[in-house]
Amino acid sequence: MKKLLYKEIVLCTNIQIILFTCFAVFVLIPSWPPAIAFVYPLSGLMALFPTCLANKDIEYTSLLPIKKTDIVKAKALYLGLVEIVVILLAAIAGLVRFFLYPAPEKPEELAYFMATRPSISLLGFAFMSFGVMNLVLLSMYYRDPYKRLTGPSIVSLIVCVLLLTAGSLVIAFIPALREYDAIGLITQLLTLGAGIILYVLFSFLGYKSGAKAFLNIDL
Amino acid sequence: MKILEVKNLCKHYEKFDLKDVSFEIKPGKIIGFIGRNGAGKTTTLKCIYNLAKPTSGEVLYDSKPIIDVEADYKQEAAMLIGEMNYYGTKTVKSLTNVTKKFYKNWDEDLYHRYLETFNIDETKQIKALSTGMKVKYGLALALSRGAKILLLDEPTSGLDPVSRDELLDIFLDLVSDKEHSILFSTHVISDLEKCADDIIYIKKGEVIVNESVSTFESAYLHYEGPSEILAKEKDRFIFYRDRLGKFEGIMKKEEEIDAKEGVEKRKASMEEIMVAFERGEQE
Repeated sequence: MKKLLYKEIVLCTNIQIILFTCFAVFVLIPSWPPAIAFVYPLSGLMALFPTCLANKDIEYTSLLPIKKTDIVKAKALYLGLVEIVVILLAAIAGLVRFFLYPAPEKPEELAYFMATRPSISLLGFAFMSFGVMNLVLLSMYYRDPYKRLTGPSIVSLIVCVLLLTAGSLVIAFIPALREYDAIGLITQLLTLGAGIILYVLFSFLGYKSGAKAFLNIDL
Repeated sequence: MKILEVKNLCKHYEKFDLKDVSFEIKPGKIIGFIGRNGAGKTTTLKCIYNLAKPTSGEVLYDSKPIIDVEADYKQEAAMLIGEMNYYGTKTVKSLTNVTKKFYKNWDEDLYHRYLETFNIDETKQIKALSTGMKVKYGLALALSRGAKILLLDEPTSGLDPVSRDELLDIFLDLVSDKEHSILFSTHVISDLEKCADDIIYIKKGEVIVNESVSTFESAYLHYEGPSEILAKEKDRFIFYRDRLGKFEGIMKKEEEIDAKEGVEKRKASMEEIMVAFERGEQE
């Protein structure tokens, strides 16, 4: 697993992925909904598959002493690594933002709230959204990795953005998901935990589904 | 003792079928895999390395289906398809550094010896290498990883005559330990004549010859002479040309006829046999 991840990092990482991953710190920008910071890095990830196709990544990897399904596993691991870095960067930036900017005076105002107050719950929703994105992307892409480039990227991106938006709205309407009193904190941490579990589950299902489809592909 | 066994391999495509391909690879042997473009050589090699899924049949490594022991099998078998044309902007060194991590028996000294032999500059980007250099780089990687079975698709294409000769010598040195075996496809018949022990001839997805090079070569005769003498026997030839009073043809040894005056008879070359196999039907 370490070798596969090393191969992905050294051979598949490009400046676009690094740059867009760093955009997770956009959580710091005042008056911007924090959820937007999770969307920018996706642009980098969507460029991953076309770039790898141009570099004949599948052909190279298929010659290595690994199982055919490990080709899909390598990409799933790499997606996971980038997404976790994105969430960690966003969490650090969110923490800074939390202490840097005062709490809104009128938290009942939805737009105002969404634009100013990061929450731990949002990280949970981000995990879940990324997990669903991985599920859609991996299972769709590896059904025909030589042709299916645009469709899986666009569909998974749209699904992820919709889920992030829905997550932000849910947080806005349910105070326990954004407040930092004892109940709020526990609820937020539970949401984060549930998000991580769903992330692992959906990503694993995406890998399994992609790997199963990929076994039928002639390279 | 067989190290790899291909059993009744079939692969169906819309416009092509690989039909019931079977053969064995034994240690210490170099097998030349020949046939026209589109005959099924690359498809067979891909099935042998699990890059393509056979419609039916199986490939056994050490008597086990390769899909059950894929990672171990690929430690022992190296596949090279054409030139090493991956990650063009990466340097030779960085691609090697990733590749070698996957192999238990990677031999760094041997790798550097091959780089020196093939005159490959490690600091160059992959895209800056010439076609021949990319082939050589792929070979250096395949040969340095300690693989016992080398599956090479047209390894000599793109190489200049001197490099080709050097490579064939490397093949002969490798198999001399009776542990390595090489299956390589080629269009360059002289390569086979120089180093192959056995030959597998594939035509339209079917193996039509699988025997030693010496048996194959001694089974056909070449005749050349006046039309008025040889044309009478034309039905015995698998392929012939009869132009401007001059007759030339290939015949199976069991059909052998006496060479009358003015007729030259000799052992057919591999290239002549291959052309006869492919064009025979057309006459």
